[in-house]
Amino acid sequence: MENPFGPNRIEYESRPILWFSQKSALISAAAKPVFVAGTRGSGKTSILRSLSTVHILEDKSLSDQVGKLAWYGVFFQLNETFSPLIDNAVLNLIPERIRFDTAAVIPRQFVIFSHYLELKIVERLLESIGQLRRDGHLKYRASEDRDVALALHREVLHFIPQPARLDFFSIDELRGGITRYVDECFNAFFFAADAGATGFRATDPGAIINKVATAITPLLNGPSFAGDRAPFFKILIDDCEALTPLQQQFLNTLVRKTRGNVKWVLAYIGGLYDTIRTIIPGQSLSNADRDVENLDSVDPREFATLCENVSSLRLYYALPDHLRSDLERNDALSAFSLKNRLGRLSVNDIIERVIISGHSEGREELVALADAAREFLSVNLRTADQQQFLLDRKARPYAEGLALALMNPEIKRRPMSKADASNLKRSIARKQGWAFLKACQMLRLHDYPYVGHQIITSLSDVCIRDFLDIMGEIFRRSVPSSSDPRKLVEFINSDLQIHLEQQRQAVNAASQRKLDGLQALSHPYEEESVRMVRALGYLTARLQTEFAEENALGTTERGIFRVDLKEMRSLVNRLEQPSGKLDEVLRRAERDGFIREVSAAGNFEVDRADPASKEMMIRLHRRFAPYFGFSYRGPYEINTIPAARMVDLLFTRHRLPEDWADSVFKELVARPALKTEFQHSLFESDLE
Amino acid sequence: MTASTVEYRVFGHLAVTEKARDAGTCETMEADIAIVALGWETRFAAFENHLDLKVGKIVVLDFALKEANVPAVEENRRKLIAMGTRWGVEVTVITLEPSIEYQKNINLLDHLLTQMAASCGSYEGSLRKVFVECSTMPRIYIQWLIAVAFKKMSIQSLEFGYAEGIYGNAIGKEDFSSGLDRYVTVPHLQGSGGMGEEKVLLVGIGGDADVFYGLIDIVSPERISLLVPRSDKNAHIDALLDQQVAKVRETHRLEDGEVRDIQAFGLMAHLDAFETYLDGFGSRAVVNVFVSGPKVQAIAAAVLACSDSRVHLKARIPTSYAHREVSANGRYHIYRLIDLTSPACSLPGTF
Repeated sequence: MENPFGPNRIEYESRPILWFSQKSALISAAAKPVFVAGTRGSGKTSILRSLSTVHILEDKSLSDQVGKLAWYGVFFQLNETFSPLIDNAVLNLIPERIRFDTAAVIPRQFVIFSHYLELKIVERLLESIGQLRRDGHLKYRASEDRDVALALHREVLHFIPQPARLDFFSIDELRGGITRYVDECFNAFFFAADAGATGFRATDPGAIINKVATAITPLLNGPSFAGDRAPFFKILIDDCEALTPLQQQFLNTLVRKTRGNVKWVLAYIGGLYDTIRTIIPGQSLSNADRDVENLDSVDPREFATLCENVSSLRLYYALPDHLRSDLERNDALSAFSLKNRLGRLSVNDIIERVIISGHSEGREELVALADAAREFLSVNLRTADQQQFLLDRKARPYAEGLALALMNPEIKRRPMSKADASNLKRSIARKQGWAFLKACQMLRLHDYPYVGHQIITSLSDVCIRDFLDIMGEIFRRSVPSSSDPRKLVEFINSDLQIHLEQQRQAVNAASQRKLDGLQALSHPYEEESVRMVRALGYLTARLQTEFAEENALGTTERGIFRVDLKEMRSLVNRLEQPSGKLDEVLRRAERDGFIREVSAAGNFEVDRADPASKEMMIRLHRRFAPYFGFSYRGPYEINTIPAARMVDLLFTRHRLPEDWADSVFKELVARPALKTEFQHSLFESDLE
Repeated sequence: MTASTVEYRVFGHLAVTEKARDAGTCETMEADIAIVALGWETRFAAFENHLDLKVGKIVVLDFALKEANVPAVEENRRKLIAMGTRWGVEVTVITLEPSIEYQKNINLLDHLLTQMAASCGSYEGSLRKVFVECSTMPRIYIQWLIAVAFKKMSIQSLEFGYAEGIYGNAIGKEDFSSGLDRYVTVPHLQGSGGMGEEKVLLVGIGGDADVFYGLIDIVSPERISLLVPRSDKNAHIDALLDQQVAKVRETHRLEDGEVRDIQAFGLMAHLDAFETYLDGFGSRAVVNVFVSGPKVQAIAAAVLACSDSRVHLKARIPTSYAHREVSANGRYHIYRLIDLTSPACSLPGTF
């Protein structure tokens, strides 16, 4: 039996399981173009595919989820060959005398780019319409077929050779004509010595798509379509980051120039696509022109729903058909209860379990802290406010105890009002991740128990691929691969928690694997990535668990690192390293989901408009947390890593990553202490 | 080689056949011209023990090297001139830029081939048959030649000669690697234009599997499939391959069906494997193919790209070639590619 969570790129599967998510529904109904940003594995391709009409109608489960279609989706992936190909063609077509005049070249490039792209889209659109008619999803008559095709040929695509027999002309034939035309043009670009011989006919950008969309609309009539109003044409383009920056502006211009029912949906890796500029002077894309959906900044709760639905869907379809009737909840989206299986465990629950099950050394200390906290809270809070702290839970309030023990007496005063109480709760909640680490440390655990539904979804760091990796490990441990499919039914039906030890091992293995995956690559650029991940991992773990001074209260959840790119670049140049290498290393690590770029508030940064930005804020992907032993939440606090240190780590490499982390840790922790001391005395002398 | 005993397989518009020989009397190889790439490996000269060239001209690609007068290269040059005198064939040396400057070289070769077609071509002013000694020829040139022949339709048939080498002292992947500078699309073999609905990467790995990792980043494929060349001749090469495959499998989570062992020097075996993979991909997939193993992989990949428009052929431009000695092990392969759509090749009795 295959691991249902195993192949975690949807396309590996013989029968890809697509889920029509809330987000897909939102995008399908949007009356504006939508830009979908996300890191690798955040589900961009799935969303786009679940909107493509052909994919929906080919897939029974997907079409059941979607219901009646109110749009028509055409799906595409751009490829990295696409951009140089067009650039090549442009070189051939532009007269020699203006080739170096950018102002004259760019509009021509744009026309060629859009002409090619539009034809490709129209080709695909017509092909899918023909296919849907053959499959019985569209119900137009042969005469309509011919009339529309002829009208299109007359009005828009007149540069395609005249059909031989007008009576038998059809959309399929028109599509064939486009294919031949595009192929001929492109072969001519590569082979013809003179540009005149290419037979290329420029068109007004946007015109082809606008006109074809209007002409095709009457044909979209069939049992699967909601016929109440003219459907939107959704042009779904994946992997837009493959375009060059100039081509991105071309595409934006095209987005701006098409109107009516044509709605673009562009997906790209966050930060690698220019979402604003067009090549029309004085015009840019704003929120009025398009929505930007950032898949990375989804609400954790929304992500948890996604995880639950995806795992249920995968398990459901992994079952052989005849066994589906044995399911207790025979529904693809709710057959499996992720929350019950992983367990809704708070930090306190987990620590309680560890304490009950073993004889760890620090347990008395922890129990004492927790009891003190329970006492403090029940004495100082009004009964109504005590509700907030869930004191009646079975598990002792360890996290609260640890957090309260850290607090200064002046903060730890008796909460007067309801607002005070919730402030206290919030500042304790913020310490939860740290408290978890601290408790594990006190209990002298070797491998920290990152278990339970909340922690596991949090470790996935809103990347569904990482979540599936962890689930894959859990599944492998609970259901032996050789066993009978009935075990799978049990696995799905059960509401019992999967044993915590199994979860712990799986999570640790997945974390280890992610690092191993990075290390196994010995591509020249990866070596730096490995060093960076290791170094930042150790550093984060130390920053979050060790305090040099007593007033480290505010800085428990450290782990965002600010890197001064400008200074680094100049240092790198002085070392005579290839100048682009630095950006390359950071960008690759980010794209591959090893680090995350964040804003000062800890949110994901997506629209980094300026590629020459001066600084960058990064944190490690949370899936590394179990390996290095840092918190599964946050981080929230920023530390600046001196540029020279960063260069030392990535380029000069005098030390092991671990040693590097130690020395930077000392520097980071010692420095603010010195500063405050110094300023303190200065002010005091002033006052005197 | 009489027409009745040769079995062809057809891929796209190309017919393919292969044979291997170990020793014995030299076989006559008739062609309009022969193209050889001058190298430092001693297997370069192996073809003189297997073939009796009857060609109009031997064209020698002499790539510029970092240091002049490398003894091994000069020795090969001397041997080649001796062969030319023995067969009574004119030897034309073409001085080229270093092999990594492939674009300049290809432009020059393109011109020269057109010129030679006029003087040596035996079919209506075009080259009917060209023999290519590919043991020491960089892959991108082999693939480009196939594209020129069967995409640009300027050569009607190609015959490749390849001498198996002995990698006695090669131990780690470093002994096969030439570094990596960048990836390029092989000219003319760019597929149908770079847009599709799924992206796939098909890789023929060689001693150094690492050279394709960069492609994963560039292409960001949704699916990766491997071809692993197996020859049972060198236990340590097999061990090395096992290690590389295990690594790729683990990091990219390949499934059993996505790793295939292929007989290392079989052209048809490679083509069959490629075809099986291609059948499994959707009709609108974009299939990036990259090979770094034996030269026959390069030939098979180029044939594939000529016959299927979904295929994009990628090649690697190395940083530099290390001078390693590879000697011939006595086995010599001949691969023949014929354009079935060309009248020059479909006349009965011509092949």
